[in-house]
Amino acid sequence: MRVALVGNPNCGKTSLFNNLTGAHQQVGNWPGVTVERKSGAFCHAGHDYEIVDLPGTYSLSSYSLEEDVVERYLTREPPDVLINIVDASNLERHLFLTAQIIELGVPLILVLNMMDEAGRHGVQINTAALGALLGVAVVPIIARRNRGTPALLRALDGLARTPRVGQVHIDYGTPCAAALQRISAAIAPAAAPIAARMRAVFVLLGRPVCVADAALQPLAAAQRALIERAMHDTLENYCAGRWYGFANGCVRSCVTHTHQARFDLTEKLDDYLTHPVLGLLIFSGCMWLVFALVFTISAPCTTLIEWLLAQLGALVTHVIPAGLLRDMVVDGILAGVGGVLMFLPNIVLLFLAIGFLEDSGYMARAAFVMDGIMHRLGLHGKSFIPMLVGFGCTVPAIMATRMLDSKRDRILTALIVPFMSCSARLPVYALFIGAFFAPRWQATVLLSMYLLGILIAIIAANILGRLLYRKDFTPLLMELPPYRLPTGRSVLLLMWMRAWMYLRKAGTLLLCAALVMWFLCTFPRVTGADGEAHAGIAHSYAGMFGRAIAPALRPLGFDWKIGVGLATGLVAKEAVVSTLLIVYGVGDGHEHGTAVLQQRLRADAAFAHGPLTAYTLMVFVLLYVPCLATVAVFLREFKWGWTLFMVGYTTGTAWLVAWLVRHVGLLLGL
Amino acid sequence: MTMTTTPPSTTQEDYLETILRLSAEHPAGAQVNELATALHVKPPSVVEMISRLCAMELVTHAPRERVQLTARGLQAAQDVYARHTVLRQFFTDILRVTPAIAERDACKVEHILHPETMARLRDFLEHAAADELERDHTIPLTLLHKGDCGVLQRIAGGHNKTARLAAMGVRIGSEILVLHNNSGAPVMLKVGNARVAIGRGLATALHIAVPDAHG
Repeated sequence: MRVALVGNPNCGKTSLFNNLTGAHQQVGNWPGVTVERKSGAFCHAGHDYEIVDLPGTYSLSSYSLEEDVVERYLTREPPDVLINIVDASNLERHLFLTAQIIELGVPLILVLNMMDEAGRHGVQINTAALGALLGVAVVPIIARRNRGTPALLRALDGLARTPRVGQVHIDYGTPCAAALQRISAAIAPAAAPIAARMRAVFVLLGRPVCVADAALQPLAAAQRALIERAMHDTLENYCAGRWYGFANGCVRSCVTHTHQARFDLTEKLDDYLTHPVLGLLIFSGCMWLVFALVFTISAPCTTLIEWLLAQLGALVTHVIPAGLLRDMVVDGILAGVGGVLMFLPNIVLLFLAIGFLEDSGYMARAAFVMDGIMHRLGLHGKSFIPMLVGFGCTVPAIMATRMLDSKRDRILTALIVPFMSCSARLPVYALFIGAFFAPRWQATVLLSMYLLGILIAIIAANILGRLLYRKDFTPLLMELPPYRLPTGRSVLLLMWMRAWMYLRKAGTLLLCAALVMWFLCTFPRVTGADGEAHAGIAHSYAGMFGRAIAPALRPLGFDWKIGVGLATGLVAKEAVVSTLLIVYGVGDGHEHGTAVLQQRLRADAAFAHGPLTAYTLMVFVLLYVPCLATVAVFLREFKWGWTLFMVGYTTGTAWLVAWLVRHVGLLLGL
Repeated sequence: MTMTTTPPSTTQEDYLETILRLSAEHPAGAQVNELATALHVKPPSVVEMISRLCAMELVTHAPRERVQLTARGLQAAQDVYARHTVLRQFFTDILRVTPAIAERDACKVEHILHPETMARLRDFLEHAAADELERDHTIPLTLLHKGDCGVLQRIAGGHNKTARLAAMGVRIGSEILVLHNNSGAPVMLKVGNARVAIGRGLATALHIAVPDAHG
């Protein structure tokens, strides 16, 4: 039996979903969009239920991706039972959505959540009267404390045994009702799985649910003209008024207010947390804490993972005799697994923090406080968080864009996140700054890299925002949920789901890519006079690629050795250093490898304009494709088109900016 | 090719609009006789014009069947209708012409105005409406202070905002309480038992009636 949960954002849908399914859930995407699809399964009284947690939505219309997803699901493949969850403390607004779905012709259960909060606000609801009025089962619950779930299961069981559809009709008023009647009469009954009257409403609103209904568009357009002429308002507004009338009628006859809550903790906290100055300070503090927490705790975990893999590598070296197989296992598979696991502590901790911020209600305030600044960059208030995370690591930062609500903001933020200088780029900076800059300039040069990244991100956000989705820009309009203490269960579940998704989806892709890169860096094998196979990287496919792209890099003042380094840097930025060690013939295991390499770099003719070429190279490393893991995650989130665009435009930007830096530098006589 | 891309003439637009209007009565479309009566012309002229509209792929018509608008025809008819609505509003609301005359004149003028003139007229009506409301003692939301309360009277500008706001509980007639209003940040309101943040651009479009605003 297919069950779907529908309701406004922040009404406790996810808590109820967790109560019903426990850990038996799956997270994926709705087909074709980056909206998260959560589904799960449970069994009760001999019936198997498959439950879908629909994205939170205020109404059925196509203003946002989420609304579109919900409308498509409910009208194209409606579930066997629909559970509509509403906030009992703000019933009238939540029943607005109920008014739009009650005529679908799908068995419905109305769940009144947050009964405790409603009680505190002096809202008394006569659930029996409400049930009689709507013709559906009404179940009061407190999802956060898992109260009322058995009653809901009983109601569900009742509907599973005898499906029953309520016979309530929304009163659309004279001109509209006549139009609906005319359209319903023309509708082919079997063409869509929902009630004809509801389909007539969708046809009238210009959003037909099936091909057969689309043929009625001229009739609908004509009827719309008649209604709008009679009502002096748009049809959308007129219908919204009718739905509110319905919600208001329900509240009038079933709700009594006993007293007003005197003290509102949320409003008191908001005085500080959304204060224009204090709020920003608190937000900066929070972000610093999250950042510090995520990257200080994850560092030892990452080291531990590295150590374990090194042990495993040593073990493998003992067991498998030297040769191609051993190389593949150690340098290919183990390195690949390491590349995947390396990001796991970051991701787990980051989503723990984000889950906490979201569940407590603070995230909406953070967006509120940052909106003024981010708005000027053409971004959303919440975009700030992925950007900040990007300084640590681009991979979790791109995953964090999921918390943004509109597709425009999501893609735009993910596209500029790679310009935030992540921690993996630091070794490259360290090598070149150490080699070419006097100690008193080193810190300034390093800082300039970070600032340049931010500057480029701001410019890119402005240009991309204008180019890609100009008309899609929606003004900020969001609800600020009351502050609540997050429940450990929901925060941990969110964290676990995200970590698992990363391992399963991005991880497998990343592992394959790592194996392919190993192959490209190893073959064809050149065995030198001393039988040393390692130096082969310069002659491998990756090396050939590096040589092949060398002409394109010549205007930037780079030779083929840098080209090979940059080519392997596509896997991970740290690899640039280790590759340069090899192509400059220092060898991997050299004790003072870096110092020797720095010496050889200084001596190299390619670095005639030493500091300038080094700076150009660092700019290029800062801006071009971050790493294979980023590409893998990006692909999972945004599909091929956007991924190719991201790879292309970051590399293009890197080349352009590096060229500018070099030529301005040459003009200045550096 | 050039045939299909020419914009419809005045008479053709009248036909499309009338077909749209008649389709309201009958889903399958309009009959030639109905069209003749509505447009005050002879049936043979209708048939001739319909065949020309068919060639332009704006309508479909088989002998003895009803005339139906194609997707492009529907688009064109809706365009004409939208212009008609704006003009009629201008005639009745600004010039204070009687509805019957406004209807008659809108039917004529709708065909000849340049798109830019139409766009300016739309802007003008929007501002005129806003001016009128200021005389009704309403204040844009952004001018209210923390702790002020009032009733949302009107939302200026695009109607899709109205529906979006309504879905969040902010609609005409809602009682609102301003929780925060600081320059550079969105406005925070309390509506019912929910807090809603509204970007400043959108907030200026919300006109609030404040009790005793001039007291």
